[in-house]
Amino acid sequence: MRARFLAIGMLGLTLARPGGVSAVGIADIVATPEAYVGQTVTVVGTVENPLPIGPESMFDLRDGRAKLTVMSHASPPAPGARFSITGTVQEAHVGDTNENHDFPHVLVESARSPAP
Amino acid sequence: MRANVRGPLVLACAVALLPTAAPALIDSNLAVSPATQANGGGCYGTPLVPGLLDMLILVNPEWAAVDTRAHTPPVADPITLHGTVVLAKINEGGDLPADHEGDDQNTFITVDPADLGFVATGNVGRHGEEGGQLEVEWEYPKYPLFAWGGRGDRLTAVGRWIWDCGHPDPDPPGSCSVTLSQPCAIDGDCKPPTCAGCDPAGTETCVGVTWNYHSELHPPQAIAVTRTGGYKVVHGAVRFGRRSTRTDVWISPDGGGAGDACLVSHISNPVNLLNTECFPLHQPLADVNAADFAFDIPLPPRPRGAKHAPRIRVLDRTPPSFRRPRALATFVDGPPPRVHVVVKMAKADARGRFPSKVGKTILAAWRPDPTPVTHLQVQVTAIEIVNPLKPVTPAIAPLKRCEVSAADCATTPCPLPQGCLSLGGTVRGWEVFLEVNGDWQRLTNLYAVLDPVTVPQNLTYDLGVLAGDTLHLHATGHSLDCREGQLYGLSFKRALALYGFFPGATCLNSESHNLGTFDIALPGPDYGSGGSTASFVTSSVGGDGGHCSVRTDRLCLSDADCPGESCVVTGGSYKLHYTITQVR
Repeated sequence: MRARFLAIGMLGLTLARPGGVSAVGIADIVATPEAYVGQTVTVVGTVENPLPIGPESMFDLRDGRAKLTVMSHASPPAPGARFSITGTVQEAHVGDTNENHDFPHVLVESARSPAP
Repeated sequence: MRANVRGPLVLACAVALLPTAAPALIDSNLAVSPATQANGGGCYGTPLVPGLLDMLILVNPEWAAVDTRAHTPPVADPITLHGTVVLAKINEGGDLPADHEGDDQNTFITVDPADLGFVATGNVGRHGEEGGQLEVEWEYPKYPLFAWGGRGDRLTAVGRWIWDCGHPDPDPPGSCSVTLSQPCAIDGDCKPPTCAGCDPAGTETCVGVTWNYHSELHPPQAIAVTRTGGYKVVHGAVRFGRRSTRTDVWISPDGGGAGDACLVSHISNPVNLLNTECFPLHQPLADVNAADFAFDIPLPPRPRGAKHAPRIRVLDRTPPSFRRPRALATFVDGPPPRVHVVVKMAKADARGRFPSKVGKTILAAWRPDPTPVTHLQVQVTAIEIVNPLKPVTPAIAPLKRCEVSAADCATTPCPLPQGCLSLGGTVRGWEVFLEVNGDWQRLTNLYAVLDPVTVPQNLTYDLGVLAGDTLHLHATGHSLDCREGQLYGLSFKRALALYGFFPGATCLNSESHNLGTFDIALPGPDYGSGGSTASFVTSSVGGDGGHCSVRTDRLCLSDADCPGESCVVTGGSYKLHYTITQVR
């Protein structure tokens, strides 16, 4: 709960800190998301399901079997493109806590760049 | 209202009550079967490793009829369910506001053997219910407190028999049809790029997955709750010290989001949920006039010396301005003895008007009944809020938005007649409900709670307790945060328009806070009264909140409230002040 709240408070406000960013695999975050909540990380993957929401957006970033939803203050990248996304890992809940314990985490984007 | 009592009936034809095998549980895998999904019915699973956007399918819809028979989804015939209450509470973490007008009240029941066919395989076992075998859920603003149940109460409910699509719990997962080493939940898990080693042509399917969807009765349209213990005083209609069986009835077509056709209809692209508007709800599915509401009230065994039929009184509790239908109560001289009740919902009055929202309380008592009953009064005098469980920094900053255009009105007035809404910012308020042996009341004047404070209360519970029973005090509630404090009844579309994406998502993510557990059982012979009167101050146990690790006089909800320190979680956010009196 404490970690979640901290994450929520930072939602949309976090900027990548030089030197404080770690490159991790999406699969690692998916496997043990609690270990990354509130941390700023950089992940690489392929864009899927871009969804513009006004000037902002959501999209999925896939690396093999694993994927992570990115929340962005910018418009979404094109589907199929590979991007390196830096952001903060946050928990997400939209219903009863006890029932939604398996809700996937999200990455709140602070920077992006094309990836090879 | 005067009761219509016929009886005792002499049954001309004896019905042999032969023992029969309980029906088998319904297979939760049927929730996603092609037959169930036909014509827009059924549930839809998520990938084994979903992203957040994948979760939209879980609420498209969030509730799907188990069996629509000859109807087209979402229309389905209601079922009638019988059971015994194990636990009742509100959904303390809160529900998805985009398909609820208010938080759900959840009643967990042990289903009667004859009705076990309504229970799904997912309702039991590792992913099973918190209590009992099945939940009856009704948004609590739609469900008056007098008809909420408590532990041990008998329940008859008529309503929608649905799959809870929001909680699929694929466990164990299946495997891809060719690449057997690849676990999966849906066919999409067996196609590239999710499955790099699967057939590149995408021909593989997912086989053998076990879904654990729960079946529920959600929402009811009619409910009858029978208190089988000593008695509960209501309207001065109970003789103190005399055993009496009270049954509370509530009937209403207003099922909230789960009872509205717009919100329970599947749409082909779940992303379009973000652009769908169903509020204000105007497509109720329940037809409370299609049939009368009939149920049985179980009576205790006839006491020695009680030669006559039990005395039955029917009190009307229908809201003002609504039609009050008759309730016919008929004594059926068992075994076991019971009262058969029919609330005449299917009959119009002389002006062609049908009843809609209806409340009744039915009291039944043997005369004489020498069963010893201890008369108790519980008076709640105050709630002492030790930690209000409010963050120092609100989840989102205050916003000002025009109520129709959603334009920013912080500095520019809205064009008339639009008002300017205040959103975000500090969210005040607690919601707390307290039951004493299944008799529920809501604690008052908690809407503005923001700081530690003692709020006086004036709640009285007047009840009789049988020897061997306990006096059970149980509370349910939460400290509101942004989601439940502001978003109920707002579609995704409306919430996005008013709040914007990030503030809206943050508000949605800010769930209510856990007050801790308050659940006390006091045994006889004095039930805590000491034989006369005793006063108590009892703290909730566990839950959220505590104090900062260094400045221990500072309350906190999370580490963010203690800069440079941590929040030491102690729980126990409130204390209840109450008195128990044995009335002689």
